[in-house]
Amino acid sequence: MDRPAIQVEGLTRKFGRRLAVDNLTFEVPPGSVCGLLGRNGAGKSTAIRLMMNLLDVTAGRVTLLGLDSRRHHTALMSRIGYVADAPLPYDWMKVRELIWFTAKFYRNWNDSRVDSLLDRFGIDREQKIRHLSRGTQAQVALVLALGGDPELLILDEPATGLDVLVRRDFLESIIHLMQQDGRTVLFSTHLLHEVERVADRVIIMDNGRLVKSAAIDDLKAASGMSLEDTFVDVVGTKEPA
Amino acid sequence: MRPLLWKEMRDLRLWVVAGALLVGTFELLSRSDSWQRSFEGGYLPFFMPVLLTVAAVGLGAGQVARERHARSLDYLLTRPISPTAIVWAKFLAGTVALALLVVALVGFGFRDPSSLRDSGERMIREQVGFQAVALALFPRYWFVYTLTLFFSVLVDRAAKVAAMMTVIAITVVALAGALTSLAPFSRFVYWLPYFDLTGALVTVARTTAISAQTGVVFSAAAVLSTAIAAVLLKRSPERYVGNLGLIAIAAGFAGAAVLSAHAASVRFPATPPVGSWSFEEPVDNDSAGVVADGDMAAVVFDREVRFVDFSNPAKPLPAGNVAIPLFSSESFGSISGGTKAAMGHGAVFVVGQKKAVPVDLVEVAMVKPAGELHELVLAPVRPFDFVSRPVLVDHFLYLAFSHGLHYDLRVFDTGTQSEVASLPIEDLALDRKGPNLLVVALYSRDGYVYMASSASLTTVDVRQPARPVVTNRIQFHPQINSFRAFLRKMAWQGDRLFETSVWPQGLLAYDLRDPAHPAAAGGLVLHGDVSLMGSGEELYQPWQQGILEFHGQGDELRGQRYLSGGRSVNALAMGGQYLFALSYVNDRNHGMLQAYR
Repeated sequence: MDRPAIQVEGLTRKFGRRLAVDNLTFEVPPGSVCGLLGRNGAGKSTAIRLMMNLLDVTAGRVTLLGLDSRRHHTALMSRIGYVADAPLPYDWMKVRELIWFTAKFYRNWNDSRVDSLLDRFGIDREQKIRHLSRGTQAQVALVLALGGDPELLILDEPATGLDVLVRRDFLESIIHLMQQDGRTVLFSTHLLHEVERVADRVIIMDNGRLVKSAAIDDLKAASGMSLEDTFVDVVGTKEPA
Repeated sequence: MRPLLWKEMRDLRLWVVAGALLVGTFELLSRSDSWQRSFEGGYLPFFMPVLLTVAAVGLGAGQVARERHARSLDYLLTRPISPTAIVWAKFLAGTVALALLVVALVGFGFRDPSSLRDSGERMIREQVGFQAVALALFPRYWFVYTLTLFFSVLVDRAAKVAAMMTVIAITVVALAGALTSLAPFSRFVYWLPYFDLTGALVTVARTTAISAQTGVVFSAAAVLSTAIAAVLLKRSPERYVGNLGLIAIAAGFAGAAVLSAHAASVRFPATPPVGSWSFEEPVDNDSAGVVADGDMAAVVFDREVRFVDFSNPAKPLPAGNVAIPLFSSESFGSISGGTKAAMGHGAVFVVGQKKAVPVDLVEVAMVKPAGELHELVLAPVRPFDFVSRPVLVDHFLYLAFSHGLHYDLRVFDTGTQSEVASLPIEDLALDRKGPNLLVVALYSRDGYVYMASSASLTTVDVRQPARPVVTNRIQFHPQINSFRAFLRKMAWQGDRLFETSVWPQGLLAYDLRDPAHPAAAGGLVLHGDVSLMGSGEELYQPWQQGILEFHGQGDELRGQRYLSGGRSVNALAMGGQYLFALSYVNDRNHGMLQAYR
């Protein structure tokens, strides 16, 4: 069996006395599209930042693509695409400049993919980042994450700020693009229908803890409920608006 | 690295542009008279270091912290580039920007010398060039910049870094002040990033060896602190030091400054005086000096001499007051150096101005405790004449009498009260641009008289007093014309003659093993008011509320004892086994003569 694309073991992070992530353990098999679900404040972003080595772990270990995320941080970054839940950096740059700036870090930068995605999203390369709408910024962020031909794509609330139509096209097309090449995608969201539409696996977090980690089909079959009902069942409340 | 450098330079270009605009504004403002008067003198010693500190801190403070706060650092850290490379790219860009700012800000201080009016600015500019100062200063501010970069890695807000560096800068200035007291003769002033009162930075910029030594150390510290910052960013990209940590570090710095000030006060063992004599000064008196011969000391006022016998130091006895009518020891050439008097063979010799018709006279009053008074007329008073403090060797009195760029060594027989010789000397090194007054200091030892002006040290063989012969002249280079009116005091210890240099402040040492031909033997740094004296085993200098006794060893001066007096000392005199210190409080008309063994 292939080794997991993401392997998280006992991941724990404390902020002062507060446990933001509590003994999180799960695996994401290669080639899968996995949604990380949870209410606002469930610890999704912290878990992703810990996986990306942007925060120190209090305990636990993260293995990405078979490599320790801490020890092989720089090497891993050339194989992983990451989109943070933050606005694009360096808003004084033009789109073209930010792409040039980012591309220079990668040996395997895929110019044609970047160009076709920019065209597909209709992004003006001469616009300054600060003049882009939040949605367009999210699109540019995604293009930048995909430019390095990543084996693993980790997206933290990637569709925030996009309108419904764009979000649908954006998420589905990008995730299918990744899936076609047998690459792995992990994306966090609190929107259940997005997960149901594009993901084949789901990880549900609540209060920093893992509540469920399974294939969506298995989850539905086992519970006999829709994903939304299952989520409400395990988290104990309705999805927040 | 290339895209990072490009981005960093774009990030920092505002600082460079701001620096250029600032210098341009200064240049325009400096064309106005009022600005020139109020600003020019303070630029190199004050505004330039402040601006360079702001530049160094401003460049480094936001480089990591602002990126962390804006979360753009996450963007970099999730690209295939090592955190180490990120820090070094920032360092390289910051270094280039800082170099440009140093060149601009130092360069402004060295622009168009013809417009300079301020003597302080001239003092610096006459001795060092722009390149030397820029080269000496750059490593210092480079270190300030990298220290800022280091803190920038530790915290998440540029403002916190700037606040931290402000605390450090204030602490450094306070520590420098404390160290002046703690180690008054150490070379720590060579490490300061500004022109302090001693002018040590001038010495650094002028001396390749010191400039290179300090430059290498500061540069190494800059690289090391960047390397540590790189490792810290690599180890964990989140913030390390919270607000409490910052406050603790700041408190640590402030505590260090306070502790050093306390340490300074207990640095040297205090020795109290063995005898003390209080006096009320005469009415309308403006100054007082002290001379001594054996156990007898004399306080010389403007028109009066008071003798005090310290044979029994526990109970010093007044031994006579002698008034000198129509005389003023204060009014003639009374520049730095205090009262001009000498004592020997039971008499005091005071240089002063005597009221006379048609013109006042310069004369030496010879005063004895019993009231005996003789007066030696030297010349009619003329503008810009100067008479040195006299020295007494056996029965002959020597003094230098200067006018313009010339001076004479004049020799008087105190027995016959007549002049026995006059040796003309011209200070060829001086040009005519400086002030008209030429000040000369005199010192004697073992049959030789040493005469120091701001341009030369002249040795005269006086073993035959009627036939003085110049045996040696040492000219100073570079000399400063504006310092012709400053007195270069002298003292000797063992086989070395020390002479004060006014700017940069310090001591020049001469080897006296061949007394006819003193050989220059290096220079020493000395802080505060340079007013040393000594003729034997030790050297003395008024210091804090008393006197510091110190000893020259090699290139170092080591403080040994603190002769505590309880108030600041005005004048010192050595006589027999005692060192006499005159403390003089103008506002109370009350003085004190204290003897130390």
